[in-house]
Amino acid sequence: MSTRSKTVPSRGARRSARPRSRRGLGAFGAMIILLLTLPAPLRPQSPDLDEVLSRYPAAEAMRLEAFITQQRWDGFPTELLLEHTAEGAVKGVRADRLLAALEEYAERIDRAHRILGERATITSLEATADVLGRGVPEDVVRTVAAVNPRDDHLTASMVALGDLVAAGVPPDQAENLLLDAATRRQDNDDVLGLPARVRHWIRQGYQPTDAAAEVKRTMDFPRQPDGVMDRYNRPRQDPPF
Amino acid sequence: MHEDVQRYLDGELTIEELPDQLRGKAAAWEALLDDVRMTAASGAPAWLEPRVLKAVEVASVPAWRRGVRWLMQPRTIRVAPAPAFAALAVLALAIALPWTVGPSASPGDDTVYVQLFLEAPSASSVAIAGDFNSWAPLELEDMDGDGVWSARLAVSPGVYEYMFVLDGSRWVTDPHAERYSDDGFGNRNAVLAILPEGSRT
Repeated sequence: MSTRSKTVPSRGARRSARPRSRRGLGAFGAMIILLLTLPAPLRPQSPDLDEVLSRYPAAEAMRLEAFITQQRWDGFPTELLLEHTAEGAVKGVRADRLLAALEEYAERIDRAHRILGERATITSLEATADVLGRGVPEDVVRTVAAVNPRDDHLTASMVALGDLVAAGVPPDQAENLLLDAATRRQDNDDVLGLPARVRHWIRQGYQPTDAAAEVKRTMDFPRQPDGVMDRYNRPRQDPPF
Repeated sequence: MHEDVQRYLDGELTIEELPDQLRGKAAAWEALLDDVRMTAASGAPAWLEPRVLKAVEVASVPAWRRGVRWLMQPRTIRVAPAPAFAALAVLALAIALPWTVGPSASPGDDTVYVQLFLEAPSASSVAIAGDFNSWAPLELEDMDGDGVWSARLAVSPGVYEYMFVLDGSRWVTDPHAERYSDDGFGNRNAVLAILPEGSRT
C-alpha cells in the first residue's frame, strides 16, 4: 500500500507534465498547419482544354477544339474563349449552343481588340467585350477608352459603363458621366460606384436619365473627413417630375 | 666518440676493459646520458606546453582563419523539440505574413480577401465556380448549419464572373452581387470587380 501510495503521485506528476509539453507541441503544430493552409490568391488561369472537352462526345469536342485552334492560329487571344468554353461545359451547355456562343463571343472580343489596339489586356478586353455585348455603340466605347490610358482605369470605366447602360442610362449620357469622372480624376472605387449611385436615385423614383444627371450634378460634393464621399445626402430630394 | 666508448655505452664492454685514457670520457658520457634519462622521465614543466602552443598559434594563424575554422568545424547542437517548433513557426510567420496580409506588403502583393455567402437552407451542398478558378466548383461551408453558406476567397485584382452551384447541379446567381452580366447561355453571372486603389495622376 505504501508503495502504491508513493507511486500514484509520481505517475500523477508525470501525467501533468506530459500533457503540457504535448499541448505546447500541438499549439506549434497547429500554428504551422495554419500557415500552410493560408489560402493562396485565386488568379485567372487558363483551363485545360482537353479536360474541358472531355465532357462532350468526341465529334462535338473536335468541332469545339477546331474552332479554338483556328482562332489561335489567327493570332486571337484565346484565354477568354477557353474560359468561356470551360464555363459552358461545366454548366452543361450543349455543344452546338456553346459553339454559337463562342463564335459570338469571339466576334465581340475581336471588336474590343480593334478598339483598344495594342493596349488591350485580357481584363480590359473582357470588360470591353461585355460592354459591346450590352449594345453600347463602338464610338462611345472608343471615347471612354481614350480618356482612360491606364489599364485599371480603363477596366473600371468599362465595367461602370456596362452597369450604367444596364441600369437604363442612355449610352451617350453614361459616356458623359464617365468623361466627367475622368476629368475630375476620380479613382477606381468612385468610378465603380457610379452605377450604385444612379440606382439609388432610380429607387427614389427618378428616371434613369434624371438619376444620372443627379449623380453628375453632385459629383463635386466634398468628401467626408473619413474619405468617404457623401453620395446620398443631397440637397434636392424630390424627383424632378 | 671513440669506438670503445661507444661499445661501453652499448654494454659490449665493461669499464675495466677500457683503456685508462678512455675511462674518464666514458664516465662523463654515462653521467650525461643519466641526466637525459632523468629529464625525459620527469617530463616538461606544466607551463611550457600551453605557452609554446599559444605563441605558435598567435604567430602562425590569423584571426579570420581561426573564425573560418570555427565555422567549418562540425559541431553537435542539441535542441529541444518545442523551442525548435517555436523558432520554425516564427520563421514561417516572418516569411509568410508580408506576402499575404502584411501591411508592408510589396507592390506586387495585391491580394484581396472576399467573403461570399448564399442563403440556401434546403441545399445539401453549395459551391462557387467562376473564372477565377476556371469554373471548377469550390465547396462553400455552412459551419453552424443555419443555411447560410459562405466562402472566403483570396483573389488578385481583376474582374471576375461567378455563379453558385446548389447540390452539384443547380446554377444560381448571387442575389447580393453589385453587378451582373449575361453569360451567353441564358443565365446571369454575378460580377466581382476588384481593381487597385489609387487616384488618377
